[in-house]
Amino acid sequence: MVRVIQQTIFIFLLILFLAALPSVIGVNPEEKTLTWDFSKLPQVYGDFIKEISQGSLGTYQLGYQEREISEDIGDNFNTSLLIMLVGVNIGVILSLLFGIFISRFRITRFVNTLLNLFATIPDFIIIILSLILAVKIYKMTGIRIISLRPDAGALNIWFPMVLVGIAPTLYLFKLVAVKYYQISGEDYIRTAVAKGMRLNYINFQHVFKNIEPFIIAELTKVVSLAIGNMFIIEYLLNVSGITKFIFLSSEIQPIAVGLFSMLLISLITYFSVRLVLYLFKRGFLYE
Amino acid sequence: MNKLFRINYSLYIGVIFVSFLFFLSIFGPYLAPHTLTETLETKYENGTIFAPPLEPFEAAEFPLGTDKWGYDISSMILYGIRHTIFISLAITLIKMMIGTIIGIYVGTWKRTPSWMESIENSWSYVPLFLILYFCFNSINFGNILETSTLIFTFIIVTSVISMPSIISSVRKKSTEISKSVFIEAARTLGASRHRIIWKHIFPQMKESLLVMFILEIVYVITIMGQLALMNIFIGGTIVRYDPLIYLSITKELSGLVGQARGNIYGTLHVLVIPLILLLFTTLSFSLLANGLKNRYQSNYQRTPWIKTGFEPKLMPKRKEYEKRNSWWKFTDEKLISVIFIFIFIGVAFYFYSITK
Repeated sequence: MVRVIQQTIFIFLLILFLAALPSVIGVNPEEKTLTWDFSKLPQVYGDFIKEISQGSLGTYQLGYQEREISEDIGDNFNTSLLIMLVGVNIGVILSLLFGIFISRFRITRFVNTLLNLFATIPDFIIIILSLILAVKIYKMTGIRIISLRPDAGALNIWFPMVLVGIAPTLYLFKLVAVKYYQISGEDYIRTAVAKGMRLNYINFQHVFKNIEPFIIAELTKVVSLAIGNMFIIEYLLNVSGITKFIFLSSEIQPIAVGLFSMLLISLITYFSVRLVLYLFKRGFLYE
Repeated sequence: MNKLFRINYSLYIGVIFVSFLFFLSIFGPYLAPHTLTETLETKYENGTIFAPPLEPFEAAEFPLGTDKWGYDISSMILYGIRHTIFISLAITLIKMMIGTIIGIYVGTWKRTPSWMESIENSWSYVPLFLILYFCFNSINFGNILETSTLIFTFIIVTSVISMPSIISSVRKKSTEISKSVFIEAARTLGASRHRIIWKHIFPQMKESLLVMFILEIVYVITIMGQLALMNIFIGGTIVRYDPLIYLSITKELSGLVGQARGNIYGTLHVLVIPLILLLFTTLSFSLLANGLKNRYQSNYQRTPWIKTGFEPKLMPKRKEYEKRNSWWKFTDEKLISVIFIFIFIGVAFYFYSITK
């Protein structure tokens, strides 16, 4: 419990520090040197706390327009949350499926090699390549598979979901593959084989149960990977999600609000994956 | 036929590719056909017009084509690749050295302080490129600062902020190893903490540290690429208004990709060529890491009892104790120490050349 409180405090401090960073760092044009101006900090934080305590989230700049954050945050939050939830959950399920349960078949081995190959390519390159591919497909066939207009509905949102899902899938798949191979050399697997249990049964009852703690331990890393990619994807694909507040401004108000909503989104995503794993365990595993 | 399958291709291909990259990054500027400021003048020759943007492989003088202002892409790449390689190497060297030392010592403590774990956990939540984005968003534009200052700042900030993850993974491994029986035996025999760490724990982890080192290089390049998509190019961004364009000062690879982002609809080769080079860079480091991992895995893994689909095809390479040690005998360790010496010299040379 102490650790959870400690972590919460650290994350809060980290976010507040990050949000104030643009107003602290600057350049001195005459001497051409970096300057750290910490004297602004109390004022910046004072303004932030005053704004929050008045019950408003403050304003942000959209072009030349100054808009209330609280008016726009609902829709943007939902969009980002939807993308993250679908992307990360798909990633976890796919990596488990290909990593453990069907990895031994000849056809899936091909998929595994493909996944391994993709895992060596950095995520942002995959994102750019897929964009190039989408443009090419549109030029060649005239079929519009993605749209960069924020009001295009499903066309605007399905592609980000897939792209957000790529990084968690590849990362977890690599991890699961290594762990699966390690665990299958353990003595309790030999016992299970000697008892004449079926391979599927061993995969469910012995292997999955022992891989699950590693997956849960890596889950924060997976979610943070997905969040990192989400920033880039929303920026490149013009999705009006929560990152709009963060990239369009350099004031503390929108950045801090944006980062805190990101924190909330990743918490919800984390618990949704935990729920999926729990349901899977209740449904398929003999407890 | 079986023997052909058992060659560790990714190790050999990785070594060849990485040494090619080193060659390019050291001698690149001397090989470049043009300087960074020369442009293609529109000309009319034998019935064809040569005008920018030139497609690749059209003119012998401009082998990879030009961008829409007539600057040679191959020269830009040859000038820029050393920044990409050496900056990522420098960052990885700094953070791996400090991170390993801290992590390995903390791992042998009786218990890890809880504040340390919570810092590591909360740090892993925030995407690193976001911290760098906020750090550089206000200083990177409009070449007010010197390029070398920006590069040094980037190297230091990136190595500091990515250290917690290294410390955490080294610490976990070190804790795990320090529970082993042989550590207990060494302790009983009166070995000091430093001896236990450097003679018993470190040799156990040096292989995984090497793999981690190479993967971290790829990770740094990824961060540079992500920043470049936000128009933050390492070494400074030139901003031109009317029309608004962002240009990289150093012509570093990810910067080239970032500044050519607008070419996705039309002159695709301006974007694709640096992207392929960047892909090649990351791929060769990944191949090297993968090859090393394959070798260590085949040496140390236990054989699985069930069919997993991940069986390595490589034969384990055993240590041969009987053979006499002559001084030129080729071993992995010698190769790796030579590579590290080269990396050190290269990075030092690079620092010297950018501050000059």
